[in-house]
Amino acid sequence: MITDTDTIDRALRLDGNAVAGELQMLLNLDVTILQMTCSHCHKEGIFANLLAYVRGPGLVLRCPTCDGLILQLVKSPSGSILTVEGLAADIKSTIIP
Amino acid sequence: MEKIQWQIARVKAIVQETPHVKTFTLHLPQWIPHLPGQHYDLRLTAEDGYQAERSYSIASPPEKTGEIDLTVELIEDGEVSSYLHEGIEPGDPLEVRGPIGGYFVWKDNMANEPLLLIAGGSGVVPLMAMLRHRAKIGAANPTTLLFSVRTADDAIYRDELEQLAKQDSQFELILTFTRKAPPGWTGYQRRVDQAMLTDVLKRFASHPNGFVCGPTLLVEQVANTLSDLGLPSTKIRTERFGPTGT
Amino acid sequence: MASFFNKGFGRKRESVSSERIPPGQYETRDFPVLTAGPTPRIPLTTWSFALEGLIETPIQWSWEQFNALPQQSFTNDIHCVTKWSKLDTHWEGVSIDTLLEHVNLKPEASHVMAYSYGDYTTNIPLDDLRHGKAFVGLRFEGQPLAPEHGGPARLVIPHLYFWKSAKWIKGLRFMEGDKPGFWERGGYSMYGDPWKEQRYRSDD
Repeated sequence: MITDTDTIDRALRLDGNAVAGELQMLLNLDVTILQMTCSHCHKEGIFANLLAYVRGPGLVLRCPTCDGLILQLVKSPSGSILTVEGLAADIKSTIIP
Repeated sequence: MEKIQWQIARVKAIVQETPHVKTFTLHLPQWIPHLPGQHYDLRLTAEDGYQAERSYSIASPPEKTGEIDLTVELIEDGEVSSYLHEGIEPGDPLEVRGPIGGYFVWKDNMANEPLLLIAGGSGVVPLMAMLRHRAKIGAANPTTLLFSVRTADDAIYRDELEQLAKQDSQFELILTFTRKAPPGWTGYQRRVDQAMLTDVLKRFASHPNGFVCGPTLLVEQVANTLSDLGLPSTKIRTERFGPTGT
Repeated sequence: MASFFNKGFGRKRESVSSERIPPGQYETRDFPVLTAGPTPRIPLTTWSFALEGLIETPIQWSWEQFNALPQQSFTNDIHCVTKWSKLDTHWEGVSIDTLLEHVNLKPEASHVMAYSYGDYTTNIPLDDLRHGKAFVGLRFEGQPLAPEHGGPARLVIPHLYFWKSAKWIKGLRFMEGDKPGFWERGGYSMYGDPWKEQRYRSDD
């Protein structure tokens, strides 16, 4: 067991609340209260309970049950690019210029 | 829902809460009433355009109109918190957007139900907004705050919380010191664990609404334990804070 | 320049040797941990590394076999798209050229999808992995590579932005043509040349 790595790993993990401001600006929608289904493990949950990895080239939200990718948000000077492949079967991906 | 946008607030007052924690009272040109538990995003911009953004919970109740209190812990190597702590004075402008998040909130329709608040360190901030609002509306629901801090120096709002507990027979404050308890302390002196949560849950005649906020490690462990102890997961709301100032 | 800015706020800049720091980057002595997911725990007994896709006979190495391959030392500057650069990093590992000696590539192979434990992938033109340009790093600064930095093994391609240097590398898939990986699908550059500031797809 390498406890240090586990600690770093878990300390870097936030939740859906942490990206709510960015998504509310983009979508004019409070995402934290959304009920949603993971397209990987089909478990239902609340957006606020997704795991958020915010220390990277972009924001990544994952399913708390299966760690499957739910949402990616990349902010670039020309706009934000939102990819929601893992949210539900009928939502593929949306690009906001 | 009100549309949020970046706005430039003015720092009205700064209070040193603990050696590592300051509360910034911000006057907002476009103040929107918030729900206790919500947060604002704060963005710093350097002259060369470089930006850094963090989320901070609102400590003040919505009854305090036109302004918000953001309580900020100084994080070692934290570029935003260290600038706020060292580079900001009353009168300075700060860019913020909010209020944000409708999930980790205590709503007025919960005012008749028992309430269990569990905080680690600066995770107490959004819970303080709930307690302040609860006091303002005169709610009499059984309420307990279990507050885990390292030392007495880290217990944010301790005087106010103790005062509140004295005035309100329905509100109980339980402190636990994880590193060093003050002299003569007879209460908990350890991390929040299953035995402690069992004791706390015993105080409630029915399932309380649970709000857990603090460092990721604490939040996940507490939420899992509460669930193991039979509190339905729909009754447990969590918010993870990032790394704390170790 | 920003219309609104916070007086006195800015990144702490350390000694910048501009010839070695690409535009828009600043130097750091730390080794920041960036992550897009949980750190996978990979027991060395089950670890494997594969070359697959457009090759005559796919090949797979166990940890023991992989470590028995000829290793080299590398000293490189690395550049992260989040704008930090770290100079003179010391690595030991296996050159991709060494790995390619074990397989016959099909002539149509032009690009590579590097894939990792977890769901991380990143795409690289084949030529950017050959001729001493890239390696699989096993040791960093004299120590086994820490899991938070991609251990037990990570791809290292110093001349591209560091997201191309996939942590927890599991294999390389040879492809005909280019396909986006994890961050590339999310909006990042297909190539990622730090000297041309190719950060986003719009910079390609």
